[in-house]
Amino acid sequence: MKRTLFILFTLCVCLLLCVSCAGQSTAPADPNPNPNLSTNLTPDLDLSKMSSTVVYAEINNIQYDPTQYLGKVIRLRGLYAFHREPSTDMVYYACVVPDATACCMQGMEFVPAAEPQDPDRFLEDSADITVTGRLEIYVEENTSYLHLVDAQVELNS
Amino acid sequence: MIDTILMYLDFAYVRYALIVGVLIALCSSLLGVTLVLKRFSYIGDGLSHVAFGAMAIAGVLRIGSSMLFVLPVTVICAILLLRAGQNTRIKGDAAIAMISVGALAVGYLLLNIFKSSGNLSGDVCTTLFGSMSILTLKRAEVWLCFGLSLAVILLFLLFYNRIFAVTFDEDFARAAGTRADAYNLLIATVVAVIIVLAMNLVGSLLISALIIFPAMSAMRLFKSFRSVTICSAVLSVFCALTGMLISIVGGTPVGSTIVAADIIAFLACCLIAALQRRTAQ
Repeated sequence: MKRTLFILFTLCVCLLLCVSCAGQSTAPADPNPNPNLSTNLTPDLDLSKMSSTVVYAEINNIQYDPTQYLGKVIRLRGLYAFHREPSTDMVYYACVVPDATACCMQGMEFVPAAEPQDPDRFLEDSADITVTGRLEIYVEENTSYLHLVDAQVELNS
Repeated sequence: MIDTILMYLDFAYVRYALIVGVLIALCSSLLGVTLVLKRFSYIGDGLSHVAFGAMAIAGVLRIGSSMLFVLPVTVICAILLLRAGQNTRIKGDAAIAMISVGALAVGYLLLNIFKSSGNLSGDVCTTLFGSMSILTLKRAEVWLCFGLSLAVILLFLLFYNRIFAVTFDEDFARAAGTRADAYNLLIATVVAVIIVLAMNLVGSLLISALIIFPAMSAMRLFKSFRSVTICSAVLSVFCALTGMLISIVGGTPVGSTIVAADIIAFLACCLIAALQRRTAQ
């Protein structure tokens, strides 16, 4: 009995060590900022340094209860998405973050600090970007939406 | 590494996830031993598909807290499978298989016909594999999970001797005056509650792993009901915690990471058992 418990304990310690090693390999890669799209905002909440699991949950939390995040500078890393609404000709930019299972996605709309001259060619679709901006709420057709304003975009390598 | 974990622990939903995950893992392991010994392992799988179907209906009906709808439906199906099923023409594994695939098919069909969101594949994936559900629990859901888990643990501790008797020899227990049918009903209800809770942690397709693996691992090492139950509970909680931490730090899917930890624990227990047998010879 004692021997079994000892072996079990040893295995538990080994597994915990494996967890430690797994964590070390998940450090975020250094982004390679594009000089034309650099950032100088200091984020209050830096999601770009967190694992995809936590980023997904945190964005979900922001969408569910935005009051505690409004006005804060948020930085997140994800895939660039662009949409032009045909009926209004309005353009929308977003940073989409896939979850670990790759079946669900959470997105954050942003408004670039400097309006691009040609929004359709601002960035390549699904480009790996890091966005830093201040979280604000806006209302469109009686529905509230969240977006990052004065957003500065970094294109990652 | 510790700093990273501590940083993540600052987030309330990470703390909620860890607390609820540990409680669910504990509950599932307690009843897992009974289910495995009674040869009801597959019932967990069947009921989890029922829960998927019920969740789809809850989504279509736009019920705010789906758990309040899914729970009673799953409990009723559990009772039908474990109790009424014995007296009907369709018995045992056939009844489980029919309810299981039937609920899965109807659930997916309803989700397709009455789309409640633009991301159908995401909704299905979240329900089947848990996805990030455990990390997106709201405070009310956390309290509900907490209360239900405590109720399951208390029921198990209070009726431990009766559950033990019904698990090993139902006929003898009945002859000794134990109301075996009532305790089977209790087990069915508790199993249904565990399955609904565990859907948040590992999703409906992986629930069986949470029930069976810890019990089977513990059975490799110990022989008595009590020691198997204790070992199963310890292994299940450890694997759930390890799996969730790896998932949070490494960005892997929560449910499958927990099940992977359970599989590793099972293989380790098999290895220890083999070593023990060799030293005993």
